[in-house]
Amino acid sequence: MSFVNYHSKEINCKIVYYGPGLGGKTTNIQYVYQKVSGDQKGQIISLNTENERTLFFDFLPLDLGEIRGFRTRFHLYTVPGQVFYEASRKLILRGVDGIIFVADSQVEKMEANLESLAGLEKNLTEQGYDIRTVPLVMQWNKQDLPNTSSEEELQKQLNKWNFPAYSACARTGQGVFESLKMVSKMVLMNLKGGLSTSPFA
Amino acid sequence: MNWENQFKKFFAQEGLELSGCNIFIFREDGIPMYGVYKNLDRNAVGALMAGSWQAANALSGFIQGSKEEIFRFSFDTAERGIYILPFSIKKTAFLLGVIFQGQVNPGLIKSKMRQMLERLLQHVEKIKEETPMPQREKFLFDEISDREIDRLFSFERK
Repeated sequence: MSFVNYHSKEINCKIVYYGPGLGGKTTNIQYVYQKVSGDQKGQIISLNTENERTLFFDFLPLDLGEIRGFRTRFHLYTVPGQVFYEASRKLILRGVDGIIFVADSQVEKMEANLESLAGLEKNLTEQGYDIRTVPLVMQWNKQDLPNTSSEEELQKQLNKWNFPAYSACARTGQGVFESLKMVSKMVLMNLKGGLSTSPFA
Repeated sequence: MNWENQFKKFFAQEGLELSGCNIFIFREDGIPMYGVYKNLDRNAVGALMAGSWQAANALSGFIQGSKEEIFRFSFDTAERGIYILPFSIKKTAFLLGVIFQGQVNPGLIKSKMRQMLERLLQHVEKIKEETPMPQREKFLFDEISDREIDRLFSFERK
C-alpha cells in the first residue's frame, strides 16, 4: 500500500514486475537502473541463485522528483518467476500499488504466461485485491525474437481486462520506460487524498 | 503531525543510548519510516529487513499453534547481528529493527529493544486518544497528464 506523507509531501509507492520465469523482469529493472543517473537511484539489490536466477526478489528504489509539490519515490520489485517460488511471490505482492506483467512473447511460452497470470490473479484475490481495480500494465516482451505470438494473440489470450499493453524488448530497452511510466501514472491517480493531517492516516 | 515525525519525536525523547546500534522503523512492505543510517542505504535496509521478516514470518506458519504468538526475528553472532520486532498501529504493520555490532551482550540489546517498543506503543496510544481519525475517500490527484509523467521521468538517459 502506498504511503503519502502530507507533512513532508512525499509519496512512496511499490511497483512489482510479475511474470513467468526467464520472461525479462530482472532485465527490465536492470535497464531502468542503467538509465537512471546516480543521485536518483538507490542501490539495486538482487537475491539470486548461484546461476543468476531470481531467488527472492530484485529491488530498485527510484527517487523520481516532484509532482504537484509531492516528492515521489517508487520502489521497484521483481518476483522470482520459477514455478516453485510461489510462496515468495505472494510475499512480494503484499502492499503492491501497481504491477507490470512481463509476458514472454515466444509462442512456446504462452502456457507459462497463462499459468503465471492465473497465479497473479489468485494471489491478489487471496490478499483482498481485485485484479480489475489494481493499476496493471501488460508488457509483451521479447518481441524482437523470431518465433513470437502476435500482439493481437497475446492481447486475446492474456488481456481480457484490457489493461494498457506495450510491445517490448527489455534487452534493448524498447517498451521498458513506456510500461513504467504508464503504471506510475495509474498508481499516482489511484492514490487516496484528503485534507486531514492526522498521524494515523 | 505525521508518522515519521511521531517516531522522530519519540526517539528524541527516548535518547538513543544503545551505542553501536542502528535503529530503524519500517512499514511491513519495507518503506522506511524512521532511522539513523550511518553509511547504510535506507531503502536497501528497508527492503532486506522487510523481506527477511516476511520470509521468516511465512515460515513460522509451518509451526503448529504459532499463529497466536508474536514472533521476533533474530540473526546474530556473539557480538553483532540483526533483531526485528513487529508492531501494528490501526491495522498498519510496522517493524522495529536494529543492526548492532561490537556488543558484549547482544541479549541486553534485544531486551532494551523490547522495552523500547513497549514505550513506543504507549507513546502512540497517547497520541491516538488526542487525534481524530481522518477520512481519505477522495483521490489525491484528479488527473495527471502525460507531460507531468514525462517530467517525472526526465532523468532517463538517452
